[in-house]
Amino acid sequence: MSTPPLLLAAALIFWGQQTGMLLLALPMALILEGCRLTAWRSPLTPGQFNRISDLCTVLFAVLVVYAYSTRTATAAIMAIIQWMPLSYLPLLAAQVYSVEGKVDIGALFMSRRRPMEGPRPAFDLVYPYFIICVLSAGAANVRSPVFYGGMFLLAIWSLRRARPGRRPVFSWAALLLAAGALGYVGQNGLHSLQSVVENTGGWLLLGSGELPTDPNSAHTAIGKIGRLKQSDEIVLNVQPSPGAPPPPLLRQASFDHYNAAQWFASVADFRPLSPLPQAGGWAIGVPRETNSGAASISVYLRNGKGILPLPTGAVRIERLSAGAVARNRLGAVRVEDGPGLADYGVRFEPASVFDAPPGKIDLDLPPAERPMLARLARELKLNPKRPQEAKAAVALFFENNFRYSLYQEAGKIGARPLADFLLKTRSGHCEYFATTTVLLLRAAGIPARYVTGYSVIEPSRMEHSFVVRQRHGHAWALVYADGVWRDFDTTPSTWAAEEARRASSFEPVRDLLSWVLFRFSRWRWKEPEPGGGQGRARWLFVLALLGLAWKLTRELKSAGALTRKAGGAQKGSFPAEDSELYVLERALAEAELGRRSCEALSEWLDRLAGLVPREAVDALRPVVALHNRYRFDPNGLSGAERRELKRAAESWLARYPAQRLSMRTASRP
Amino acid sequence: MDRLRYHGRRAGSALLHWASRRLTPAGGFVFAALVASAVLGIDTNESMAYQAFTFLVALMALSMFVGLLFRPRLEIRRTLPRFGTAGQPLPYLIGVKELSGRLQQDLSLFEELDDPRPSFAAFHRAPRAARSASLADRALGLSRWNALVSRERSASGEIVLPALSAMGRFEVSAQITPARRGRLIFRGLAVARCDPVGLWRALSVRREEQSVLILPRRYPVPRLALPGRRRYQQGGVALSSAVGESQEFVSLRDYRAGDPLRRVHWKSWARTGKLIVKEHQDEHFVRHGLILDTFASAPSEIFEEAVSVAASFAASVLTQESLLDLLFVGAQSYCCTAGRGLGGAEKLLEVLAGVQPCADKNFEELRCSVVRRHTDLSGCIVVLMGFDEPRRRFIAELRAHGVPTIVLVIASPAAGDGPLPEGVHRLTPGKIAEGLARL
Repeated sequence: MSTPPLLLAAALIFWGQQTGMLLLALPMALILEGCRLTAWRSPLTPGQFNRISDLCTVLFAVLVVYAYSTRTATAAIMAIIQWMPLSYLPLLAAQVYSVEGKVDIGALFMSRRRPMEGPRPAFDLVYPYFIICVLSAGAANVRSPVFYGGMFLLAIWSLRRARPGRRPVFSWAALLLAAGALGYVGQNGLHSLQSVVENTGGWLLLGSGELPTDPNSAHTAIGKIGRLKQSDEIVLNVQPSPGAPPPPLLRQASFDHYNAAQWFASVADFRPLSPLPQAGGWAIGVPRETNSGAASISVYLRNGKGILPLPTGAVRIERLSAGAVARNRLGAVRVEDGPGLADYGVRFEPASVFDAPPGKIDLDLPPAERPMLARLARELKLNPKRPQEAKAAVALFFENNFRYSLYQEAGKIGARPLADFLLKTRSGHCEYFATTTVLLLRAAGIPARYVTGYSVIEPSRMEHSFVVRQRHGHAWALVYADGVWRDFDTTPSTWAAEEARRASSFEPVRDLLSWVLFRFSRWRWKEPEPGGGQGRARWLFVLALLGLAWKLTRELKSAGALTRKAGGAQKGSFPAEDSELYVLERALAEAELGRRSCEALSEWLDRLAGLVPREAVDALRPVVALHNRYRFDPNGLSGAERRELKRAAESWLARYPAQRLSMRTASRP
Repeated sequence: MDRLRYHGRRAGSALLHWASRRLTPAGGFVFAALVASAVLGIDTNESMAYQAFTFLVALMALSMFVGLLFRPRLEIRRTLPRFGTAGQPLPYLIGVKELSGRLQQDLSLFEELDDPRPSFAAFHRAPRAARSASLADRALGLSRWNALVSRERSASGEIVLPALSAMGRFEVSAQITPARRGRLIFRGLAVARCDPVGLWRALSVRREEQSVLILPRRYPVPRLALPGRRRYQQGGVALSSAVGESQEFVSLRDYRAGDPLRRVHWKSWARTGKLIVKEHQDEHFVRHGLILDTFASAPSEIFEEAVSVAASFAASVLTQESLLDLLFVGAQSYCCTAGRGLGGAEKLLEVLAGVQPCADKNFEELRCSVVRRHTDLSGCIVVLMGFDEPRRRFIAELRAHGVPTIVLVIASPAAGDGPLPEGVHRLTPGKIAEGLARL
């Protein structure tokens, strides 16, 4: 083995210690380092190396399926990396116990398994395996200085042999120690840098289909000109209880402070929800009504984290398996360590909203807009003592005078977009309506908050449920009236139709793919039924079988391809059965010039040379040469050569008809 | 698409060349580990691999920094032989003298040669990978690129220098395997020294331009009983390729068919009653033609093999008793003669080392050049790159003139030239030696 004695064992023990698989690591180390204790070596052919490599690949594939079925995507990747030393142990063991001492190139690259001219390249995989062990140990993510220390010591050990012979040990050690110190400082810096990037520019990384996950602030498009572009991507699936309509609005977060086209949650302290006795149950409040609504909601969570969309008045969440569920005073519910697809039930009572009671901030107005809003509130005669009447007046005001539009013309919206919207353009999208509704009611002395979430309006084409697209993202107001927070949506009802009008023509195709992915994700993340833990194992078994079948099919196909190559386009029971030489041979056989049983083609030609004109035999030789290549050359014939064989055989037959040759034979003395 | 493929391979090739010079094997592993740790440690919250990444980056950066301090003062000079042979190791000496007055250790040298990467036109023109090749090969043009580069790249490894005492001087032996015939140009020498850990080589490149002529690759050729008999050579050996006449009388001998009548010694005939002719020194001897077909649109494996076959005959057929004319067409028709004091095989090999494909003329030019000389030639060895109709006619014409010929056709089996007549042998590229051995 090319590594210093016990280096690989140390790396494996380090890996085992970090990943918690020390009991596994010890025999692995013994297997690999044991080759130094015995002189026994096995001669392994490239084909045997290939089989062992295939075994490793299958092992790796099984681990991938298992990891992906039991973990979130990120955790699965990390688990797979952790298990890599295990899955590639057979190949390395084969190398260290082989006479060759190196792994044939065909074991590493499928495309290099075919025969090649000259010596076959081979590789020593010991150092790559060593690197895999160290990096796999890092994937265990044990947050302690042990990893850095262990990695550093192993690196020094492995680099000892690389030191140029005549260079002083002092400079070697000094450089390594300096690198160790710099690396240690650097790793702290890198970790801090990632935190800074995540905290400042993390929103840039959000994909188009991601649910917003920031319950502290909401950027609005108020004041922006041009057309607001929305995606058709499905982000939620809502299944109402049988016979009942779905909840019309699903809230994600509420905000109480407005400033410069942005809403903020003034106090966003999350408090954990108490879990219910039944598995996956979480209590938001105490149910008051006996006739509560219910729905099932499915939503993708990025890395198992996100803000759950819930109907206003949600009192409890069911079937949600997560590490922690917390809620802030404004009603946003955050989940952590959840599944990749949260498929949960929710019970809700619209009259039981457990948000914090109104405070002074719920009447706060932006100073620049305060006079305009106060004047408008007076004009509308909004009375804080009669909030229901005030709501009706505001709804009527927007319904009669405003229209929904995703487009804001340049020049019409200026530095005061809300005033421009209320007094001049009177057209905008839901964020304008929701914001001005909240501020108008506040100007009248009625507490109100700004809410973001989704509107549930589109039945699914695929099943009895509702789909929510990203373009169904909505904003509305939450108004405190008669001692209860209630949803209040003043956006003209035409908004949904306006948004749908701009849907892509590829939407049905995309929906179908989304549905397939959704069904798969739902199966994948489904919690095992009590007592039905065998289900997933059965599926895993089926998947593993499918994987093996796929592998076997590939092998067979590959073997078939090789056979075809060996014999050209094999049509019958032996290669080159369709060669035109056989036609030619049959024609000559009819003229009693055929090949005898067990007579080789060359012998046949030599015999023919004494029976038919020499030029005929000479002309036949290239045909036989081509046929022989077609029949026996592993690389077969190219298309042009195959056509040449056909042409040459046919032209030979045309030039030397068998009957004429036969007559010449007969006329010889 | 091919342009993208070409530039991708070109950049990749440059990167590999750079890495092979700069990184030691251990450095290569460290670099690979660095890349792997960068990928695995991309999220510092999910994996500790980023700690390995920062350590390896620091290690490589320090190694490179140490390399910046490397300023060797050496005097280096190569001692090259006059000729080399394509594909054969060429040993030579490198003299090194230390000038800084300090002990120098762990130094090595790399030869700086011409860039072996092909032009886009050559890459585009080269035959594509077969359908049986892997998808990656076909998509990236790997085998096409590798074939073109290996045709140009001469194999030269790291030349390790022993410790060099202050102001000391010594010579080391080095070796290079030229890839192709022609002039091999050594552009310079790069002096390298590893960092103390042994990962990174600091390089100091100096110009030291020298060249050596690389003769064509040659194959063993069996002893051939070349056809033909002696022919009268006007002017004798010394002047056989110049003007004038040599009439130095040597002896009398019996008449043999073909002797001109004006050589008949009438007095002896009268005295003995049989035809006796005068024999002049160096008038009659065997003169063979080595005819090389150079009509190819671009350098190719077949063309190189044809030159090699011609070189193999040029190097082995020459005897003390005969002349050999090398006939081919380049910028013009060339005829170079060797043998019997007119120069040895090396003269023809030097010429063959520089033969280039002739794309702007046709086979007729060579035909005229050879037919014009057919009366001088006792026999011919003709090396062709195919056996199409003009070439068939040419061989038939030579034979009709009574010039016995051995014809060697360098062509792949798929060339489709049909059956070959007697005395015409097909040699397959890659199996030339086997083909020649069967002659």
